[in-house]
Amino acid sequence: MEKKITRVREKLTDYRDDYWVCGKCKMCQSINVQKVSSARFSYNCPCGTKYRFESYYAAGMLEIARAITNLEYEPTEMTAKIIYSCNLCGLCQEMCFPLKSLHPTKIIQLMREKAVLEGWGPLLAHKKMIEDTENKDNPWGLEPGFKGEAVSGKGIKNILEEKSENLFFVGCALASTPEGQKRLDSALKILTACGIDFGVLGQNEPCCRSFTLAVGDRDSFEDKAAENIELFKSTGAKSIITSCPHCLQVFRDEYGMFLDIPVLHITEVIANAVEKKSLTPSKEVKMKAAYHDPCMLGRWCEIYEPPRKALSALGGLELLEFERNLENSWCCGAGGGVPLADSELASWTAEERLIEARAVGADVLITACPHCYSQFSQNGKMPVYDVCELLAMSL
Amino acid sequence: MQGKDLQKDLKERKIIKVPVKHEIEPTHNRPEDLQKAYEALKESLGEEWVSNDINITVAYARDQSVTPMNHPHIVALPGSTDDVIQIMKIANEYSIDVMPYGTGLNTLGMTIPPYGGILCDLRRMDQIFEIDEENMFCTIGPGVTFAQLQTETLKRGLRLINPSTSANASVVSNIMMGNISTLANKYGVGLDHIIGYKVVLPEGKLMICGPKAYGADNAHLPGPGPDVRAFLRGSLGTMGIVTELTIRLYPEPNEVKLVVPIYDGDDWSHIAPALRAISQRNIAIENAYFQNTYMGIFMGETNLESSKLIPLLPRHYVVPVMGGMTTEEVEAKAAVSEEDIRKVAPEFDFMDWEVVESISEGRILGIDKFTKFFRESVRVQRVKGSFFVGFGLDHLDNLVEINKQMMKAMTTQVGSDDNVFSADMIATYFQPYDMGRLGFIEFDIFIDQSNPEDSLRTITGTLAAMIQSFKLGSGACFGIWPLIEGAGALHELIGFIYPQAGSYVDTFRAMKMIYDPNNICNRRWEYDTLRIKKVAL
Amino acid sequence: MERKHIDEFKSLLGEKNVITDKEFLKRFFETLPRDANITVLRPPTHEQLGLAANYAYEHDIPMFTYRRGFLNEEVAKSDGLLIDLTAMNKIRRIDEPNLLAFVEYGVTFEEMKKALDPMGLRILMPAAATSPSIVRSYVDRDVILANGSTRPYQISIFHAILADGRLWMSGNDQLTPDGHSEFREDFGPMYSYFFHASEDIFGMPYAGKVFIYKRWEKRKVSAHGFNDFDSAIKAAYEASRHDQVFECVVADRKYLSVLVSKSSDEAEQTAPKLAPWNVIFGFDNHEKLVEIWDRQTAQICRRYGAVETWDELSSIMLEKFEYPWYIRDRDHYRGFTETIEYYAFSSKAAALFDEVDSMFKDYEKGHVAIPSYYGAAFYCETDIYCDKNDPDLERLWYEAYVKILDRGAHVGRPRGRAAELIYERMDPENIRMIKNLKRVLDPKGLLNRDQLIKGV
Repeated sequence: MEKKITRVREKLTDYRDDYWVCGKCKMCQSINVQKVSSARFSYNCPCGTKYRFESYYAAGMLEIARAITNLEYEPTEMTAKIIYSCNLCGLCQEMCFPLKSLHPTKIIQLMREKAVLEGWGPLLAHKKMIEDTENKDNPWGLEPGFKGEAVSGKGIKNILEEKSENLFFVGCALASTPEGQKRLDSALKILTACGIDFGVLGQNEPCCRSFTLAVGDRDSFEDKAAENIELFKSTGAKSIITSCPHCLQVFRDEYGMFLDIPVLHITEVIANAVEKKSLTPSKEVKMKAAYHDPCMLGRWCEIYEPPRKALSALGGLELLEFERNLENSWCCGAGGGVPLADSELASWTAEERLIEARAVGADVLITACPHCYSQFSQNGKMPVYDVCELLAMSL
Repeated sequence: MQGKDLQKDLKERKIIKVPVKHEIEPTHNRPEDLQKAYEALKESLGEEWVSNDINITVAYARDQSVTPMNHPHIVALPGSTDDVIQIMKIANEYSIDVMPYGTGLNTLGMTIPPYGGILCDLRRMDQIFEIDEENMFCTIGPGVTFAQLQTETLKRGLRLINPSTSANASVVSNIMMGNISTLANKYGVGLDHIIGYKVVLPEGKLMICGPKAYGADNAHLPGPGPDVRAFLRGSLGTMGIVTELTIRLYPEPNEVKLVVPIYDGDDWSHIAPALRAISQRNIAIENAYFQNTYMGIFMGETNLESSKLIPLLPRHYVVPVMGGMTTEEVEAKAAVSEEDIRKVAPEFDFMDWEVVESISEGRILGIDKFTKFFRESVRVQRVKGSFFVGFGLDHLDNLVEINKQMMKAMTTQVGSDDNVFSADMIATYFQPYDMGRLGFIEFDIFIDQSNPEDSLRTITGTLAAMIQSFKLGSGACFGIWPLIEGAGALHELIGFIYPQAGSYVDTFRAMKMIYDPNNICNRRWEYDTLRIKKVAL
Repeated sequence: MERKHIDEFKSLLGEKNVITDKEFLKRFFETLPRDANITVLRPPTHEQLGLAANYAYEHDIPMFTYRRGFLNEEVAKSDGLLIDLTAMNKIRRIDEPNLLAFVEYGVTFEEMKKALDPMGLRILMPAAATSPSIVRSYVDRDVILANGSTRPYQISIFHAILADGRLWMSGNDQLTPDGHSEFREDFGPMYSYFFHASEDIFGMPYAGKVFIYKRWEKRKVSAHGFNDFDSAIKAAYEASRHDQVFECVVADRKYLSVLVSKSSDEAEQTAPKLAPWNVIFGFDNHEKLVEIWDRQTAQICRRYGAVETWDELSSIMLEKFEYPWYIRDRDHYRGFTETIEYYAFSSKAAALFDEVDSMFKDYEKGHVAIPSYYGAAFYCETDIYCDKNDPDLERLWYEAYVKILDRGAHVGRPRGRAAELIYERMDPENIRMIKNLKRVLDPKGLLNRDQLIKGV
């Protein structure tokens, strides 16, 4: 198959102005200061806040980018350790870009791509993940076929066999574990209840390779992306619905130039149904819960309102806001391939969020991303629910 | 493939290896000592809080100033006063320089270590130890930012002195050094806010000053006796590292009202009388002058918005913020201010708040921005690189002439008669102090720092403007001696330009030598020659 | 002192400004010892002061400045110089637009008031003054009557002569000759602030730029009575915290009756007319604002249970606020007024007053509290009206200081035995700092030796 790039390739040096101009104004080291409600929860950057050296914040990583592109020193193992400690949560860029017009998150991502091209990245744990993704089409190295099993026998249409209006892209995360499959069932139940005509790709569903991209292997990502675009087009679906914000982000931002099918997150579909009253939950779900904005869904895809709208349909739910919410949301720790390379940092990041949840009075945490879900639930200190799961409980 | 790419990369560009700069014949920071100091620091602070890796040191090597880049040899992150004491002791033992670093946010290269050594990054010391609601003070560590502290104090009905800098700046560093603020007219500058502190002196000894020095309550007033707390203010970290600071907080009024006197045109003569009228009444909590460029920057949420707003706005603003116990009181204060301004500067109009709102599409320079904190770091690269000259201090009367000369120097560059910067690229900010008795004037030039031509013009313009300003009698401010001391030709000129400063400068040197006998703390010059030693390039 | 030295000083300062006459010396010492050996210098200009100091320094002659009250006997026997700066008494400049006055050491509050009144200006008056010199009072950080909404340092830049005759200028005058900028702060570590409340051990401040203020359209003073101190101080705290007042004084009936009277009889007659505790607010601003503040503060006082007080008190205090309140002016009552003064939080003031009272059970006492920094701290003063020769007085005074210091009182400008007490408790590095600066500025230790702390 002819290799197609998904979007114009960018090089780190394209952002030369950014990393030379960065004046260490420290905007990237706090949430939006007008929104700070307590000193305790004013920090924004997980790796910076944990390791505290300037280099672990965006300002420091930009300085590393400047120094290595200026050939001041050769990248070392430490360079890789630092740039792979970032969750790519995008909060630094959210603070910096509107005011300074710089792109710190983008630069960190491009540094990773440079690292892969030059051979000093990614980290060992990431290499295994890339290999698994390439060989078995999922980041965890599960034997192929598990996605087909996850949806089989549930009366769901296979879109390749039976035309459907919408393609529901299940994603590796939901299909990979029995516990994830329960949430998958909830998603399927909700989509059905919303009256959506959808089908799935079953065992032909590929991996979106967003993790491969996150750790900097754009070649591998693009090889698959070209295939995926062809596959999606062949289904004839009018829109693609994803449950995973990571899939959503790459379909929208990376495939966007060549994929003219609209891509929606499942919470957008539910919010729409709630609005049109085609989904009317009947049972109460009594809990005090805080909704966590996943980085990919919120900052990257700017979907803040739909999950809240969806949750607003639930009777009995006292929905609380985190101090760091919306565009200031603190990461769960699962992004950017961090759990593979530095599981301690990832767990600490999740723990911080759960402390914040308790501080705002929540007993339960709700999210809309399977990666956030597993990151929080691994911690085991607070019940975690997916938006679809709660809605399914209320039907 | 990957290797080829790299080779291509190398071929395309010149290899400009910029190593860490060392002195030619170092007496400090010698490699063998550095290694010993590094090991001792790891032992003392814990391995995770000390690094000599180039990937770590590089992040401290540069800021937006024109100060040449230089890496520290070691970065240490102390977590407590005891840690700082250990760092100082180790540094003295092995003759390693120490550069204190609060949050590193400055425009003058003040935390770039001239000779390397240990960079003491204090951000882990971000504890708010105490906020006393009734007696209006707080005690904090040097890693606490304005955003963090102001949030906590506002919850308790108290206001922290708002900085005209990024809200992410360290409160301790700012108050110990600059502290330009719209509240300064009423509440004072820097030292006026300090009740006391704990400082680790260069030899690693701990000193407490203020009432706590003898176990008294933090009852606000200076003393006992000689005001020892002045020792660290303006010393730019050359005399020690403040590890705990107790500062005054101010009551947040029940009601707040903003008055917006404005006028258009190039005549600057109406500003000082208006500012003075407001300042002397002592009824406005905040008071400052903003040019439209500034105003647009405050109002806009993004650069783009700001750029659109600036041409729509009238050129001159005086912005007094009234506070009071009741609505009636703030309304009356606003009316009195308006009356005062009309008497002395009838050219001013009073902007209808609805008009401001309509121009800015609701994104106004709201009270909340003033009372909470500026999100926008005003000077720090507001519009993709800005450069500021904020040194003038003078009577309000001199504003017109100084502004004229400064603008001229800024817009007419050496060797060119062309106006390389338009007036709108330069914003004036004027801040009365001490109830209008004097003021602080600041010019911001909004340029693209990555453009070398712009940068060069700015530097030449700034130097020309500084000379003009000094000729007119304005002074430098905020810890300038520690910076000037040893600065080559400037050092030679001090005695000539400022004969009155002689006894002060001698005292400064003598005290530095007593307190830092090994010359390690923010080392900027040599004791034998009193000059900067030549560094290798 | 050797004749040649006296001759030299006479040649430097003029014959009449070098005085060795014992009769003249008596004004500086309560009891002049027979073996007194000190020469008084009254330099008319700072240049002459500098020359004299330089000569004295070169010849190892100890120097003492006359600051207030009486000096101790050791000074009289020092074979040194007593430098009285009051001959330098020019008002160098009144800068009306910028509200600054440049005055020499000898200019008094009363003289300044006379000069400023016709211009519609004022200078802020001290509440526990020991010297009529504005520079002295402000350098010593005397508590100011309008302290609640203005800051303690009422002096901007000062000029001083160091022990060896060198000139010391503070703040912006280091950079520009007088007349341009008035920024108070030194441009590095601010050693000039060490000169405040230092008993002139670092140098002799001979002139300063002091803050002056406009007199606004409306001036008013209102007095409110209270039955207890607790309510009175709460009302004062709240009014100050809301920035409602120009002056604010909380005083008991004894203090006020002594303050406003000229004799003990008059004081005795006045006392019963006053409420047990009184809060006096002064206002000076636009009439609209004065009316609002007066009304709002009256509401605050009512909320704390204000009662009637002497109806003439407001008008009397209006006049009293115009002049310094000298401690010695209260000696008319029982011959001598001893003071215990310190700063405390509003909520601790009552306990500290009680502590002092318990020491001076059998004495007549007056109490006053003045807010600083919007009520964040209160200047507290207990006046002990007594016989100066009372044998117990010194001991009780000392023990009272021990007690209040134990409870956290902050003494801003300790002197005499109170200073010793405080410096005993002081962080040693803090004292080392004072000593080191002293060594740098006066290596021979000739200026005001032992005046702040023994050994400095």
